[in-house]
Amino acid sequence: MKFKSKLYPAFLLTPAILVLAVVVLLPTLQAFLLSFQSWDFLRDSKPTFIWFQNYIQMLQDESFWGAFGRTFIYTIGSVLGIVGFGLLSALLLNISFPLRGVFRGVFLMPWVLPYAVAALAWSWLYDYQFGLINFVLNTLLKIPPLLWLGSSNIALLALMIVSIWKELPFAAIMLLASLQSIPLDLYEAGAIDGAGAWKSFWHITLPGVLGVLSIVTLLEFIWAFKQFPLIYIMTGGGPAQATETLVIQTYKQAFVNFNLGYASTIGVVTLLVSSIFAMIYFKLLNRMER
Amino acid sequence: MRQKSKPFILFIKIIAIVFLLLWIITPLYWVLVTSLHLGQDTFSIPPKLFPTQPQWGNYLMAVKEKPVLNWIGNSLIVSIMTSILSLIISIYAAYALSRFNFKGRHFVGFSILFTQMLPGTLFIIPMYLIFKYFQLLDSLLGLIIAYTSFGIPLCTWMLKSYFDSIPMEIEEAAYIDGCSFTKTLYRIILPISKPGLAATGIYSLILGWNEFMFARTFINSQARWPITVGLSSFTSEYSVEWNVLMAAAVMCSIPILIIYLVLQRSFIQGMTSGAIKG
Repeated sequence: MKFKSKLYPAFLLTPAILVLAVVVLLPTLQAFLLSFQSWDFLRDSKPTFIWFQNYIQMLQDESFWGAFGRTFIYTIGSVLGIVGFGLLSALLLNISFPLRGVFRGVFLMPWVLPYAVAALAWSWLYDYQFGLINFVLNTLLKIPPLLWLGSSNIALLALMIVSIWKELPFAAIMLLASLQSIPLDLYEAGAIDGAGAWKSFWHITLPGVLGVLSIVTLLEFIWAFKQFPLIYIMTGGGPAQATETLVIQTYKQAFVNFNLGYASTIGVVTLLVSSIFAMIYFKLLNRMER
Repeated sequence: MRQKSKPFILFIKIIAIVFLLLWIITPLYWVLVTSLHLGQDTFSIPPKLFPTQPQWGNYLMAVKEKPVLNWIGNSLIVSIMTSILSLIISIYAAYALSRFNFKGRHFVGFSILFTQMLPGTLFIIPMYLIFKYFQLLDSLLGLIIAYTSFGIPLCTWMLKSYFDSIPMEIEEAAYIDGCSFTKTLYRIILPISKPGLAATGIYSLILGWNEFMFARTFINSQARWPITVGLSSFTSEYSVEWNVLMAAAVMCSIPILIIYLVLQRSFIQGMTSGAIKG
């Protein structure tokens, strides 16, 4: 649309850019600055420049690398579950049935609720003695009760399950909408050409949902990477750092140990890592679109 | 929509859907049931699937033990204000990005997406210091300012996608008839953008209602907590009264669920319209 004034779009964008710049971007730049400084908030009144010492300390810190690995396990595991089962759910739900609107409304409820509520609900479900999950596992599958949130091997898995429960409805609904926009004629043409169920899925369905699939995957990746309330409320990073992700570690360094400089360093690296991943992701997407 | 010819496959699908629904709903159902349990029933083995005598008193207990109603009020104020402010700012930004072709358009769009990627832990530290300086700590206003800015990126992106799907002929006709930009926006675009506006409004409402980390870090006084922080404070106690806690959780979830269920159709429509148009 050609309008004479070129200043007008700038005018319309100004409030958004102003708010973002002052409230988000400025502190982010400050955080970058802080990452090169040392500031024990309880002892020093001002930060001191120590250049790359924070970064060197971080790279040599075992618990940093532990958090790094855990963050990836949690994120990739969650995203695979959310998108994988989300797509399966969308394929399942792609049939007409009555009360569809009601169903969709109820279906999305986990996603609408706060993570704080989900964290509490699942903490109760995961309870060792009285939790519903251990009861069901024991009666139906004869599995002895598991200390879900208290054992270092399965705590992270327990969190991933909650993450999938919470986010799957969003992914499923978005993918379902995308599925329903694929024209039926394509399937008919495919059937005439002798395409079976698997071939029509691979050549018609997948390309049709690829756009939404890639956006949902990226969003879920970003959100899982940044996840805070779920982990903080359910395990606090424990037991013994078994669920301490980069974000949790940053928070602890900042607001428990008051090492503001070092915390900012981990924060910067968290951002860099997720940005690099996003860039790799986009490159892969471009290549896939051929 | 695909028509499945084999009834057997349809049967399997329905069973799978039932299981899916069970998986989604059971945790929610369990919260509700626990909230109505007697103290002893809460800790019974095997767990009781129905409350023997619905204890509505649990809800009164929750309100007596902790300022739950304050929490709900705080969350309402913060999320509604956040929603209104985010909407206003995002409408203008989305309209500009959708309708105007200017240099750096893609850059602005990309940087908006970039802000989505920022982990909260990165800028919470300097933000804490800034808010401390401006005395915005321990205040709902501080949260409103923070949340509004968090919401702008995705709200703008959602609205832009929605505006993109509106053909420009109507605006061009109005412009030829002498309508100014703002009039075109108010009189023509906004009235037909209701699903997009509903989706964006509810999204930022949910954002404000559900946020945890900043609220926990910035607000110290128990009475000013929003519901997320308030509820999480129950778990710090040694022996948790799960039935009372679940009652509090139900109370804190009702407002957002009501708003969501009422506007659900517009919300989902607005959310997925971008998905359908690709």
